[in-house]
Amino acid sequence: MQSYREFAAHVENLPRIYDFLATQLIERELHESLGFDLKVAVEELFTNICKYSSADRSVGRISIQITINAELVQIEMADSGHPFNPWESDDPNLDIPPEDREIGGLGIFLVKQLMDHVSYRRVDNRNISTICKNLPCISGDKE
Amino acid sequence: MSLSINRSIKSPGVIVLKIGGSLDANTSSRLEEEINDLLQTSPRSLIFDFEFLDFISSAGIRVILMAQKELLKRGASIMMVKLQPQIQKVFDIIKALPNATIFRNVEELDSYLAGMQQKFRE
Repeated sequence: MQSYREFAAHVENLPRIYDFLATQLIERELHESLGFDLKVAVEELFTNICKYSSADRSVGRISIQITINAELVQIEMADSGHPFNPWESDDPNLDIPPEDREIGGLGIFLVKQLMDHVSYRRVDNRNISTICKNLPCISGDKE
Repeated sequence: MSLSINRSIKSPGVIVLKIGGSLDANTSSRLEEEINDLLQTSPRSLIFDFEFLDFISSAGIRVILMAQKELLKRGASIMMVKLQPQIQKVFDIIKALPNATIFRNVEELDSYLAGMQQKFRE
C-alpha cells in the first residue's frame, strides 16, 4: 500500500502530516507505540528539511510517500532543494549534562535510534530521505 | 492536536505547568514564551505535569532543557510528574533527564515537596 502527498515546507503543516500518517497507520491497525516512533521520526525529518529550506529558500514543497507492506513501514520525503543529507550531522555527545549540551543534532539522533534504517539519495536534482521501521512478524497468532 | 498549557501555583514559589497535547517544532515556541514569562516571577520550583502530553519531539525537549538550565542557574529546581511511557522513552534516548526529579504521581510529588517545605522552615 502506497500513499503520496505534498506539503509546503513549513512546520505549521505538522498537524496535517500527522493526520496523513495516522490515516495510513490506522488502516493497517499498527501498534500504537510503533505509530508514536514513526510520528517522532516524521516530525524530526520534516522539521529538519524545513529548517534547511528556510536557510536555503530552494525547497518550497516537500512530498511525502508512505509505503506499508507486510514487513515494514517506509516513509520517503523528497524536495527539489540544493543537495542536503540530513543524516550527515554528528551524533550529540550524551555524556555532557543535558543543560550544557549543544542543542543541535538531537532530533536526527533520535530518528536514527527509533528507526531501523535511514538513507539518503540524490536523484534528478531531488533530495530523497527515507526512514524505515520494520514491522513485527505477523504469523497469525497475536501474543 | 495542539498544545495546551495551564499554569497554576501549588504553594508560594512553586509553579505547576500542565502540558497537554503535542509539544513539537510547531508548538514549542509557545511553551518557551510561557517559561520566559514565569521565570520573571523567580520561582523556587517548576513542576511539569505531563499527564496529558501525548507527543514530544526534540524541539519540545529543547525547551524543557532550556527551562532546566535557567532554573538551575537561579538555584531553583525542576520536577516532572506523570510522564507517559512513550514520552519517557524519548527523554531516555537522548539522556535528557539526569538533573530533573521525576515522580510517577502527585502523591509522590507532594510528599517530596512536604519534605522540602520542612527543610525550608528549619
